[in-house]
Amino acid sequence: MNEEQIKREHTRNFCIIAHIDHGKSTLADRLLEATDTVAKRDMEAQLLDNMDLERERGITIKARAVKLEYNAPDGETYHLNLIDTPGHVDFNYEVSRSLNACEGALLVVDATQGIQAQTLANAYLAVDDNLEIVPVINKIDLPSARIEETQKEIEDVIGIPAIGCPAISAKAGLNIPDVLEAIVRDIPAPKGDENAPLKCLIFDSYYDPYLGVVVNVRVMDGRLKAGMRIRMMHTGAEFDVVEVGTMAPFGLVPSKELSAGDVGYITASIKTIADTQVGDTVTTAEGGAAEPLPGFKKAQPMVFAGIYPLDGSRYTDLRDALEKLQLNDASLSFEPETSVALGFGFRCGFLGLLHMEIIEERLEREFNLDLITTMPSVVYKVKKRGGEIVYIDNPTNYPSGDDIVEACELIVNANIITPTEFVGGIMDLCQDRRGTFIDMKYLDASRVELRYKLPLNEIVYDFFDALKSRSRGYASLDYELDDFVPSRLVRLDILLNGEQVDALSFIVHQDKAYGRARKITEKLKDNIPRQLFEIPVQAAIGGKIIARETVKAMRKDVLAKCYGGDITRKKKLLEKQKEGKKKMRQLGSVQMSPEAFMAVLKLGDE
Amino acid sequence: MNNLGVYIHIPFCVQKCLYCDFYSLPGALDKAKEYIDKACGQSEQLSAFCRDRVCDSIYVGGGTPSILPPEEISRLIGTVRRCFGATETCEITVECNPGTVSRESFEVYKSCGVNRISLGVQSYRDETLARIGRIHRFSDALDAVDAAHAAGIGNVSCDLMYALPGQTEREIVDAFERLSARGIRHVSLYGLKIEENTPFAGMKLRLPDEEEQAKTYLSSVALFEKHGFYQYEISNFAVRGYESRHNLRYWNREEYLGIGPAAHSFFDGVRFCSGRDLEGYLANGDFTLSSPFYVEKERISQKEAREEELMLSLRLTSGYSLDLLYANTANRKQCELYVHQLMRSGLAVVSDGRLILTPEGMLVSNSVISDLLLLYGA
Repeated sequence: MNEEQIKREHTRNFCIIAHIDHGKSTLADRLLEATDTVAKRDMEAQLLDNMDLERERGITIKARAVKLEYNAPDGETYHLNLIDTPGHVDFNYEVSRSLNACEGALLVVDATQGIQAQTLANAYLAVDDNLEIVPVINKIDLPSARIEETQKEIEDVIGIPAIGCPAISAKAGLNIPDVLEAIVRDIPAPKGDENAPLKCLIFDSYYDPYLGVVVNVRVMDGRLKAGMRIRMMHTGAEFDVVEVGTMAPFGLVPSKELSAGDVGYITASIKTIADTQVGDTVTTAEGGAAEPLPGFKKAQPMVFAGIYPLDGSRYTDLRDALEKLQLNDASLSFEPETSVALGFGFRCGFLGLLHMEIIEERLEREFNLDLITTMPSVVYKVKKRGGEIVYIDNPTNYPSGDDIVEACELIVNANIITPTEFVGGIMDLCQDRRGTFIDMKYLDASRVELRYKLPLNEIVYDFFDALKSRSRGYASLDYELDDFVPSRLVRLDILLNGEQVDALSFIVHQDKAYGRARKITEKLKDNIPRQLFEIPVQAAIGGKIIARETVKAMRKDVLAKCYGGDITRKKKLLEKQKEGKKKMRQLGSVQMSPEAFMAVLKLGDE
Repeated sequence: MNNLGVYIHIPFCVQKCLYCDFYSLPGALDKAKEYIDKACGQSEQLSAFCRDRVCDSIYVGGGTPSILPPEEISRLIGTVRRCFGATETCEITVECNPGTVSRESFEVYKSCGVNRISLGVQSYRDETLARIGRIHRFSDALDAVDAAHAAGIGNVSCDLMYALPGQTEREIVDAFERLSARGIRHVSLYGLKIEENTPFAGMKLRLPDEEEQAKTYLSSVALFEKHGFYQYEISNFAVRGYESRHNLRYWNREEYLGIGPAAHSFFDGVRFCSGRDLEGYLANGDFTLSSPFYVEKERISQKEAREEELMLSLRLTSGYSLDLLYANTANRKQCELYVHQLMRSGLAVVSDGRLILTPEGMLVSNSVISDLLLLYGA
């Protein structure tokens, strides 16, 4: 064996997959500690999640990788590359690319909760990729831990051996060495040929103001070193490698070379992250690989919303902030949009609702922006008269009924795991949201897996919250996109005082239109402050009014006494009132505070 | 020659009404003589700046001026008339509260030139009066009107309030009909406003809702008009020829000087007021215009003057010139649309090229004025 083969034999590339809160990040921390990669005192809680937001929510948004040196009891030293994966349905594609970079996965299951929707979804992804799955039962220190039942459940439901797998408490630091041993023993060493043409899989990238884009890769074949000219096989972009190396918890460790089996990074003075898309294959510009690695998909936003600055003068700040976020997030798209009601803003595309929420929060937190976000909408595929097919991501652009030959909406395959007592309520919910039942499976005596086909349109309309409230928070949901199917869709317009308010239009299934129309008109009535004039609030489909409410006119707003000629006080009061009105959003002839506007835009069915 | 009004603040009363946030000290009457001396001194000093003006309205307000010995009021008015060169026809008003006046005191007022009495009647039922902290009964008010008439002061105005806790619409009708039968010439109708730092602000009150308040106001306006009291300002109604010249000067942006603490002035393009502190006032010696005793000085720019004119004119039933409105707006089309909408909704009318709020419009005048200020592009 040559030196590289020996190194490869001592390498293990793995990731950790788990449902939210089952202890993935805590286990990662313990592995870093146990291998002395990070001294305990340097350990920030959940080091791998290095964005504030992730730490607060306990979810990992973007994959990160770190190299661990493990001195095993057999006297050998192993290089363990831990690749962290995002744990949410919006980032399924990123998860699948991270899994692709590994030979094995630790499947962490909470001994008190058992298998949940994301456990399953991720486990299936790993099985599909032929990964060796190492189950790890976590939280065994809790009184309600059911170690053996959980092991049995894993065997029954996922079909992989689990009896005798590591049973640990990541939080209490119990049995962590068992996990390290299982990694070395059960996960195969990477294969690959360092003499074959270069093939690296990009599983993550981020923008660094000094280095440009830092590309995280797994080398499948070949060698990679500074000075080489490389090409991204899907985007076609070419760069000269400035530096390669491995990832340590607190930064990058440059090395001479990366070779088949290694996980590491590349810097090459890359300016835009769009050139380094997750899933793309890096090869040499000359004599490169003939075929890219399989599985590449361009990040496709599925959920769209208009984002506007509360204070119209901060439009350019918002644009700068979005540009900065996009440096690190190729799946975020945005383009300028103008709304009569909201002024200048951006139509933004997201992978899903969580992605949208994350972007909103980061804009508000990191860039100090106050935002108004319109109702999220999804992409519709519309076949127009004359055969033209258009994809509509903004209700405002939805063609009128006469021009539509066929309208299609996106359907997802949804996977819901819930305690049995909530099954009835959840089936009602899915039914109400136009779901098609596929099947139902008992995971054990107390838990059920439900599978439905559901329109994405219904999922973005407050489905998570509704599911939570109907299951007292116990049900978990995962979904993957299926396909566009024909549907009877209509655009519902909202009129205030007879004028259409563009930002309030939305697409809805015909059968739902009336109910939604009544709800939103009521909500508007309750939130629009009384004006000088009576304001009719109407909902219409193609000019036909289907619901109406009225905001009564204000009756009294007057300053009576002006004692001893104190004009100044009166003036100040009116000045203040005027300034307040300046901040109002003018919806046609109706003035509405941004707060009231947001209350209306905020969905909420139950 | 410019005209000038003089306002004299009397910061004394028997007891504070529960809604009152004016500067007034219950008791403290032992300071009355010293106070009048000071006010006379202030008038002497200020009058040096008013040689080119004639005074055509004097208003003694409070507080409750009528709890001072009438001779002190007489001394004060005499000094002010002399200092500021009051005209023969100068309107001289003293604010009085029923229960603190008599024919004798009115006779003293009359003899020093007082020709108008403003009575704080407020409501009809004694129960309501007690609830808001007034010390008089309604019958005292009728007696006071008679006493003023008997003393030869024919121009009596009464203040009434609506939106009082527990008050019925009927009370205003009862009060007004009885008062007008006694020959009063002017009515001011004020809605109760709960001000911060008054006892009412901390109390749980059962107040009529917005709709009821609006109804009461509108029916009162109609009632007054029916009895020949036409509306000339949001809160003011008079038999023709009996409008309050002094109050109008506030709305017409004419000049006035305030005497005493917590008194406001508008003089030579500057608005200012004097400190809200009786002790400080009594200790002060310099009352010339540049004295640091005058605070919150604000020179009114041309733009502000236009805004003030808009805001104040719309309080009056003479309204505001449409030409001026359109000439000054940043967005004429929008402004025209807005005016049109006001008219269509019955909140305003246009007459002789002037925009005039209807009683319905006056009820929401804050909103209308702030909208128009916004359209002014200021």
